Amino acid sequence: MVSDESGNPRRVSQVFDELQSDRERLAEHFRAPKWLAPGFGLIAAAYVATPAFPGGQTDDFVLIVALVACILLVSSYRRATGIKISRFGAREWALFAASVLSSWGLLSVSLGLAAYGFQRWIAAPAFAAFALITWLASLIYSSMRERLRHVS
Amino acid sequence: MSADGVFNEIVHSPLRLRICGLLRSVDELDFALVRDTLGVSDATLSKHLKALITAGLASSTKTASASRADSRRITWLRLTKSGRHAFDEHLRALRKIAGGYDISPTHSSHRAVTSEH
Repeated sequence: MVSDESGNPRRVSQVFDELQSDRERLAEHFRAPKWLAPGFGLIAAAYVATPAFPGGQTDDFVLIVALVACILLVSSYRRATGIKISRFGAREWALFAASVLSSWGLLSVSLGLAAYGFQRWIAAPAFAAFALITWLASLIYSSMRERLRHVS
Repeated sequence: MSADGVFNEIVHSPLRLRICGLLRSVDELDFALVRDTLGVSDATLSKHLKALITAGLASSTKTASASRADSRRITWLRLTKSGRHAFDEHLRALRKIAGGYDISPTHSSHRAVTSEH
């Protein structure tokens, strides 16, 4: 049963104000640790630089290490912030897809450079991957933070 | 799901509504973060969480914390599926009550859009 006070539209509006304020305070806590985005950038750079590494089984090894590193990064940031959030919105999915596609694109460039014997030049796409993924990861985090801020 | 929502007395308690409002936006939150965000004591938060957990609307799990030297553990809180449903229904019921009030997400935009009810 709805009490008289609860049934008052003005009081209900105040309730939504409180919920909104709480969300804004929570969003303030949802600040990415400084190492998070560069961490993802480093993982992407290592993946893109794979063709420069000697040995035949390096690809799989780097991929597995990259996946484990991603899991450790996510786990660490959750502990650091006290917030577990895994749902992506449309914008975050689009940015994530852009991260994966650009990493694959830059890996293709690295493979091409390796095929022509330009091993040292692989540093260029690796650096580009670091910069691009660091930027995209920070955009994903900012987008999640903005979504967290609003009561839907 | 009801178009007008379902008013839930357990959820409607002011602090419990705020707890649900925080937990609804995420998968899980650290107990300490909820306490600090709401500005309440451990005992007060525990009391209201107990009510939510007893009603099957929330749950808690404890994990070890490598960052803490002692044996304290992180307590993660989350809404259960029925808790999320109850909260969503309750918000829908509140919006129905609010009627002509604009309760759009932007904090500063709350205003009466029609004459007083």
